[in-house]
Amino acid sequence: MTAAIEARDVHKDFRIYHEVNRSVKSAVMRRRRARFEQFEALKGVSFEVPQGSTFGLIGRNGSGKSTLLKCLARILRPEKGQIITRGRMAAMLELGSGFHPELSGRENVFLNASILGLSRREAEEKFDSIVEFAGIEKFIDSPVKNYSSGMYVRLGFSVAIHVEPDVLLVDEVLAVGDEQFQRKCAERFRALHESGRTIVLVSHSMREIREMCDQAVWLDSGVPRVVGPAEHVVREYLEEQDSAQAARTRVLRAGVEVFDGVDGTVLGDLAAGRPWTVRINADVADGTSEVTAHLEVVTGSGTVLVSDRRTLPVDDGGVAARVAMPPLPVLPGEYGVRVHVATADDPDHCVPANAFFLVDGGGRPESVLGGELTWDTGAEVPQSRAS
Amino acid sequence: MTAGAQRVPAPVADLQVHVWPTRQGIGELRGYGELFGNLLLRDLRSKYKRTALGWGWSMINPLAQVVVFTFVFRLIFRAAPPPGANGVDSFPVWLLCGLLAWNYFTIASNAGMRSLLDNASLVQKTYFPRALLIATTTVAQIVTLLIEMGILAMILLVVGIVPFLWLPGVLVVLALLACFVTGFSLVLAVTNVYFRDTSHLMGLVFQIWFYATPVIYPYRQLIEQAEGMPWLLWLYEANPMFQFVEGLRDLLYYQQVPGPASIAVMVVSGLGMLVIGWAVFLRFEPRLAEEL
Repeated sequence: MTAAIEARDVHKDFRIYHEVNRSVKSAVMRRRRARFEQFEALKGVSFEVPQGSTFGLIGRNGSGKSTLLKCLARILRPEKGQIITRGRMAAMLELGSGFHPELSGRENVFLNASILGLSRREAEEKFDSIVEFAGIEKFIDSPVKNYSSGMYVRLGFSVAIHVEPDVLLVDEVLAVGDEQFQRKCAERFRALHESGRTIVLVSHSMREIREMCDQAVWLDSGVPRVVGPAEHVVREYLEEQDSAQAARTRVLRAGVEVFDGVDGTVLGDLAAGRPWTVRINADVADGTSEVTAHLEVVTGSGTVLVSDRRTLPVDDGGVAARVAMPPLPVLPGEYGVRVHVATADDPDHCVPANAFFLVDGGGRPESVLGGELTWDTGAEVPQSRAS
Repeated sequence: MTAGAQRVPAPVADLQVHVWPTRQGIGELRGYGELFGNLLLRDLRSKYKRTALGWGWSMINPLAQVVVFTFVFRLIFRAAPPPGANGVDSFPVWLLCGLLAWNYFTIASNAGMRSLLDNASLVQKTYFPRALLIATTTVAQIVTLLIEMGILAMILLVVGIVPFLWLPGVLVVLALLACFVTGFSLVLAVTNVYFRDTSHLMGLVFQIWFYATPVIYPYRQLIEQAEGMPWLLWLYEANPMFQFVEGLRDLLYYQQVPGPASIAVMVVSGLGMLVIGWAVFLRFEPRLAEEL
């Protein structure tokens, strides 16, 4: 079977600018455009969509699904690679995105149809059907800005579906309108499918993908992870989701204690300038070989004085570490030690632990640097000239 | 089920094959004539939607300018342009012959500059050659200008100048001006996407440019004042807008063909600007959807 779409090693980079205000002034000052970081949204995506199939794109938020769809729709230009499509293509990325609020529904139908690639004659032929499907016969000559949001998307959907493209790209727009309209949409998609059109669908609803798609690709951080029959891809995806969930609860408990000196007594008070020790321990579920611990010393107002991160090996279902802390040249007051323990592959889901202690001045002056200054009062010191 | 959906698609061999990304170039524009017409209609239709005077506004603005400028520059500053064809000596008519071209330049350039930002949702959600958006705004303004020119032709008839023989020349100059403005707008539009300061900066630039072009005062008077400063005149005549404004005035008010140097500047700046604008636009077009 011939492919309706062939994607070959598609790469897409985005620029993340570091300053909000991209002004001429700052460009002139630096003699070039705003500084930016490259972010690879698609890192070499290849797949084929067979003609007449319904193809699903799934993946977590930020995995590159919508970027890929926009590349297919020729809105974004890939830096590398090629996308070959056969036949007329229409994209439903945002319904009614081309509508001009001041123009009437009728004028907008013709404009939108023309943007989607219909000729004037084709649009005239389909006009009645478009209006009827959207169910807005009464309002077709009023400006679309007076439409309810439901009417707006129904008209947008109706125009797009009437283009009857050979390839239709859809980005999560199936959930528009009321239940009755949604049923009409689903019927329409089925009819398109039965008449041999190719549909590419981005969705977060695995039920939808299972029901509608023959084939699917699972995108993970811009790389296709599994390509194949929709049922298979969805199952793999859901399994991974479950195990990712499990990883989040793999650290069962974390604790932290603060000691005077090298394992002296448990600290209530610490004299400023004395060395001290932090002990970290955690219980970890079976099957985890290492965790990362992030240690911070903070002041009562939240300022971070010390911050360090280490990967620790798991021994017999637990983790224990002793950290020698530098003397704190700080003001008397309350301080805290904060620890976050997480599995190495999922640092965002961590288990926290806290300990607090007081620092007393140890007889030193109440300033951070302390110390003795040199005071000179000799005759050679000039008098203030203030008068 | 609607009948249309049952159409059996053409066999694969007959379907048109698209390769993306395409090579950029003029070929991209092929097949988009109808969309261009529809976008143009949209611009023209929405322009004076829900206004009582409608298209009347496109003539009221220049007429109000003529009243103000005649009062200030004719009555107070005593600007005295040389009399035109058939001994006609009317400051307002002389003014209008240059002012309409200038107004077209600033209004169309401003609209072209904003066109990508104004149509951000289209650019981010649909595909078509983006240069169409700029071209439609500058062409939509040409339609306004032609209506204004028609009214100006009638005014000329009333005061005793028969303009018809000179209209082909006028149309050629207007076509070159439209090329210049479109090229200029292509540059401004992409610049404005990358540097949002552009539109503010251009407000200032257009104001200075207006006074640096002899629209509201006769160039003859500047020549008298610029004795011993030939560089100033050289600078003036290098300004393409000077040539367009003076060229139209020559054709309409004085009924004479502009000098060869003027024609050369108009042709070179009109076509040159279009080529430069197109090149700059192509350079920045690929990332437009993500930079908006």
